[in-house]
Amino acid sequence: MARADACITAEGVNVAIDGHQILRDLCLSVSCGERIIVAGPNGAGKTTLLRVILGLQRWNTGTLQVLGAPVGSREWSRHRRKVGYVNQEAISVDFPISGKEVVEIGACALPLPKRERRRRILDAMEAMGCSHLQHRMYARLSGGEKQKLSIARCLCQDPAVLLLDEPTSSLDPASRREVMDILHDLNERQKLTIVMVSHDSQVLSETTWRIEHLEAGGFA
Amino acid sequence: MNIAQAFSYPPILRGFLALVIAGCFFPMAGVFILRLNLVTLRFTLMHAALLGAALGLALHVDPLFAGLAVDVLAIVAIARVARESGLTLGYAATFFMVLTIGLAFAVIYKAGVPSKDAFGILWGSVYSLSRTDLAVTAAYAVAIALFVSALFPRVSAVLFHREIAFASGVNEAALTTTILLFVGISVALLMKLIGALLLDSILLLPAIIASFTARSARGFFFQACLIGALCSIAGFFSSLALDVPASSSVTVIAACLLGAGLVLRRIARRRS
Repeated sequence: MARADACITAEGVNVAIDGHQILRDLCLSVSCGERIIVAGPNGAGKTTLLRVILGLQRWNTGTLQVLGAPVGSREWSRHRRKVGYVNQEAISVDFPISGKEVVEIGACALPLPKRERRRRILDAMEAMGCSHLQHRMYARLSGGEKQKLSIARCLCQDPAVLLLDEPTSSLDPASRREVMDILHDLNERQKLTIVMVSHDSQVLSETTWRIEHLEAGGFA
Repeated sequence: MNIAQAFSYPPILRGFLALVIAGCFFPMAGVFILRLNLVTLRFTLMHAALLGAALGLALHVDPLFAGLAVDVLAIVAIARVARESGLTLGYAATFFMVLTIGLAFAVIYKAGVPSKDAFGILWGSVYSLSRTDLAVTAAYAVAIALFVSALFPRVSAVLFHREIAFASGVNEAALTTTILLFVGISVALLMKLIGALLLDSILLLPAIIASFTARSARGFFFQACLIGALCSIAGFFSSLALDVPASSSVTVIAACLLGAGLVLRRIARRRS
């Protein structure tokens, strides 16, 4: 049942890709300002869940609302920028792009004057403590530095929801702790709703976040 | 014949201008090809342009415009098939590559098109450009430069990661189709200019060399264009000096630069 303060609501969502059932009758309700980790083994459907919430993956049956709008509707298209996304693959992108240009992507579709856009980019980098990475080449940064830039990119969008796909999977323990502290802080200070997918046992054992276990396409 | 004399001949002057314009701006499409892994698509577009040229010759339409039209149609079809079927662009492009070359041979045979004329598009001729061809090349160069500079952050978002571009609010599907169209037009124009066999020297090699040296997306585009301009200008003058075809000298210079780039990269990696 959908809650009145729900930021993300999924009811009976089914996703099948090439005849394989990835998500089955999935129900999820995430309140605004909540932080939640979706845990589960590889192939459980965690990444697909995030892709469905973002509108990147079509679903077969069920209803899905994000920030009060049905995903895929015209209303949702208008405010899909309110959902920031950090994915696994971006960490291995081998494209000559600078740290600042990566963060700039978050502000690229915002109708802002040039000066305001620049200010927002610099503010986001400062908030994430990665201003020194502005002119560094993205492909040559460490995993932790790339994740900080990715989160700064999302902050540029002025998001209400952050979706993160295994943001700590390729990080050393110190960087992992740093990223988790940053996310915790963003949730506390900016009341960002955070949905994070992880099967990192260290993160799961140390966290105080709500944890939902996904197995074979449904919550256990 | 000295340079001043050579430039007094309109075909040579037009060829020089077209080559410089192409060298300065077309490598932007090379960056698209490299980054979006459109190497197969580029082959498909060559085949589609050949089909267009064959149709043009059969129907007495300018082969350049017929090639452009078939390339644009092929791009739209490939983007649609890839989106609807879930195939990668590479698979969809392979399907159309086979289809268009098959159709090209059928048209050449059935319409009695002299194969010499149809296959002339494979080696092009920089000195056979009409004023219209030059104007189209210049207009296209302005269009791609405006597209990249005006929409730079969105374009770099798509080149960085298409899903992240979508999540950032970019109309990723429309922008990708536009990028594919620019690649298609670049291929068709360059086929007329230096031929299908050598177009990579202006389209792709400058972008590959720039990928070794660039440290930012802006730098990537800028350096690719700079290297393309260098190759086309140096290639043109060396072709006059050595009395070899301009397309060959442009290609040899670009290939030498790429070789030098690879050696320097290897040395830099060993040192680090």
